[in-house]
Amino acid sequence: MANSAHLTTAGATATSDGTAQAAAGGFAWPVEQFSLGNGLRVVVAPDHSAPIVAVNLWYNVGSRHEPPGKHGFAHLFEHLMFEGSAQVAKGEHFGVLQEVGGAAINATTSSDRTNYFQTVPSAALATVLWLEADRMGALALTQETLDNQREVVKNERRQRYDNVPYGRWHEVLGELAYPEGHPYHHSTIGSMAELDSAQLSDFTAFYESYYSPDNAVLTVVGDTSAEEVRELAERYFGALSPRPRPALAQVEALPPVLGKAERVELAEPVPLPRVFFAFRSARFAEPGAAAEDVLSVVLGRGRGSRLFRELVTERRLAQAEGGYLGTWQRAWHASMITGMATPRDGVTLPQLESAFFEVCEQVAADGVTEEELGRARSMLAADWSRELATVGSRADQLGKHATLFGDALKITDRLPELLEVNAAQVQEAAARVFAPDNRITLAYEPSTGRNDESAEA
Amino acid sequence: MTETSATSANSSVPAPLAARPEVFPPRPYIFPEVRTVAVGAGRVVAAHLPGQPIAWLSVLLDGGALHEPAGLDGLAKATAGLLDEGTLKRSADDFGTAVESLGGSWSVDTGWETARISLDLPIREAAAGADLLAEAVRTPAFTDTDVERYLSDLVAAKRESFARPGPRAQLALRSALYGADSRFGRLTGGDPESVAALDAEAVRAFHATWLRHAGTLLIAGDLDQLDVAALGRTVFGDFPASTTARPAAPVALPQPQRLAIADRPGAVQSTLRIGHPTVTRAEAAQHGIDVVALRIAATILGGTFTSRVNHELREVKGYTYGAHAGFDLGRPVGLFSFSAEVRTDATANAVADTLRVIDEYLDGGATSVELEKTRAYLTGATPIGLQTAGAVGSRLVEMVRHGLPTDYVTTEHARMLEVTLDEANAAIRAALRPAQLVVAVEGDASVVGASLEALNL
Repeated sequence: MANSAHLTTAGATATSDGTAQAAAGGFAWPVEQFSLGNGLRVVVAPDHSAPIVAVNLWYNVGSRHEPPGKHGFAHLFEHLMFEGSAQVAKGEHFGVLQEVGGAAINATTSSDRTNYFQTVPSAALATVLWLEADRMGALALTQETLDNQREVVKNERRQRYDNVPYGRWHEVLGELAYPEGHPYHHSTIGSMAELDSAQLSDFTAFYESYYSPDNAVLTVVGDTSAEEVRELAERYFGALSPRPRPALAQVEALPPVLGKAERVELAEPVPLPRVFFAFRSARFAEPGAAAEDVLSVVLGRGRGSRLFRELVTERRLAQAEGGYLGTWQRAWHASMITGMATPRDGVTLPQLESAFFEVCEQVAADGVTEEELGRARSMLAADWSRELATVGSRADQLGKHATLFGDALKITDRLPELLEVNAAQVQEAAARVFAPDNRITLAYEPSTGRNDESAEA
Repeated sequence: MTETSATSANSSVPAPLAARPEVFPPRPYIFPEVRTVAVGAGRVVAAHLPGQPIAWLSVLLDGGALHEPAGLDGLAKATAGLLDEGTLKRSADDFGTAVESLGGSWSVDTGWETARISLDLPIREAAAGADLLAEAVRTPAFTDTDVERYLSDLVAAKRESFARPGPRAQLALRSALYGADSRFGRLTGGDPESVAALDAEAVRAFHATWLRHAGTLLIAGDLDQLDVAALGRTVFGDFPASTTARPAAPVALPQPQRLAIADRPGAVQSTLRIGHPTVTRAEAAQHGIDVVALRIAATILGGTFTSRVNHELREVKGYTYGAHAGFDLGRPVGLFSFSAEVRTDATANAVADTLRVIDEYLDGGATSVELEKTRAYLTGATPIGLQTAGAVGSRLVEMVRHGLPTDYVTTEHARMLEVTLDEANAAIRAALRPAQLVVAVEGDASVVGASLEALNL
């Protein structure tokens, strides 16, 4: 298996012209990159404006690596990473970070990857690297911890999916938009039955397979230097051994469109009728992906977006609250664009759905105005500024680019790529995304009683 | 592979891991320089963030929920929310487009006493942003058409929000503490029925009475690039000073019922809110409560992942995805509250465990290990939490709302380095009164009701 989602310039080393390249792409900080002998890739972006430093680890493993029957395990494993390692007792992990003044401590699991992050006073950089190396090198996995965190994750599932109206919408759309067996078919949280069936041996195997230095990118941003990080990375991670990973089953590339126009209706105890949409779209950073990002801002983000103006203000078909269109930016296989709309009283779901598609199709037919493009560019540029404003999210973006492209400096492509998108490209993207055979509609109608009808039924 | 243990004292460290580095003591912190300028009857309070590309502007005006006429709960929030839905100069759609074309992000925050309208945008657009803030605050159109559309969407959005776990639990707690007849016994934003009673006339009247006077413009950004006084004049112009007396502080019920249940048939989790009224930030000293010591003590109880309540309910019992407790020393009165979503079959046990953990904490006090860890965490987290203009701005809001000195963040940070165990324990014993805690539960009453009654609160 290739070690990158995209064509890779593997083995990138320290770049002397990092600063100049970076400044050109809306990224104003120097970037240095190197690899340890065991394959751990390290990215450093010094910034001495505050005495703090962010440490971020991207492990190149997500729910896309889960075999059938073991869905949700990548995420449950992420929980276990906080439950102790060789030199850290159960329950001590967060305490170690708090003791040195650390904050913004967490981890997230997606279909594509698992990231672990924290920001600390720069004097505590060594402690964080020690802590991350301890759990990369010798995690403590026990039955007691697994049983406890299984319950925590089941509560997370209830809180986010099962106990909230429309809570399963993205899980259902994912199942409809990707074929059975595709790595993106199932949700990252997994099912209650699968979580219940998880054995300790599943997690020792998962750890052995994916949590090795050669499957991770360590990014450090803030009040430090490449020299300091190199020395500390060698000290704490240098002696960890690389490990082989199982070969992933070959995944056949999906066609660029879904090849269907499917509509699924669910009757659930929801307060209002509501409709969700899914369209197949380009992989993150692939040709056309930036145009899709701009397209979804023009159409479906903000008070001045076309869908809001048309459906909410002009035609009074949709509610203001929550309507949107957005790209998922998945990196390893074809991605999705999803959207949502809620009808006003007296408007039926089918009426709203056809008006929604009509507005989308209009872009494919007639394009967008320069004013609309300008609004989208301003929003995306300001977003990027905000995204890079904290050392934590700056580190996450660098780790993402290093993981996907083998070169963190690919971060400098992001903003220019968005700002260069022109009206013709947006129109082209709209024609592709909103093709009649590229849409899934998930319509919720309020039921009166208790009803757990599911999409698969 | 080499063993890289730093000290021989750590000979028990398993190869190939390195030993834990030494911990450095917390460092002092200095909050950005704050400048205050009088502008007509209003004033500007601005924090200087050199080099920050984003500016945050926020207009703080008297005119919160406690100023609403009887029977119109939610009017203050709706009025503030309608300010950008069309002005004398621009339609609602065009106003939204103008904000977004600057890369701006508009937000509204309405409390019990004040309304706040904020705009976060690239600093080069700050003057244009202030023009838009002024246009919205001074010359909203409030046309019948726009107001009718906005309010009807608001009613639907409230129904949707009340169908999610949370608002009804919060409402149950407030009305148990203050009585449903008190404005303070209900929610600031109202409920689906109360917002259905709002109309354009009420909105226009509320704006004319409360929002057409000078207030405070808060700014966080690179002040070298801004004309602070000019921005203030733009927003307040010749507005007169606010002459309103501060609304009287609400009085809590002397003998509240200790248990309130909001029925949510079929819920797979119960939403817990446990709390009682407490002092405001300004009143704390009169009651012998040191707010810095209280903050440390409350953080140990419920402010972090390793807190007493989260440790017990999540990490030991597996009842929840997360549990929190803390003091909101807001205005016009403060509130201590605990919150968690727990699985239905563990509801009564979770309540009993929470009350037990609180009792044990007050009886035995914090340990010195907890104190040092929490001191380090809170002091370290200060600069980490203040990396963005908006985050610095939120400390300005607190400063103005409670009449604190411009260096209060700096002095409180210094004070945090000195707080003793006795001071921390004394502060929370003065502020938290277990016998007065009211337990509100939103959950399936047919399943959890009897076991909650059996707790004999």
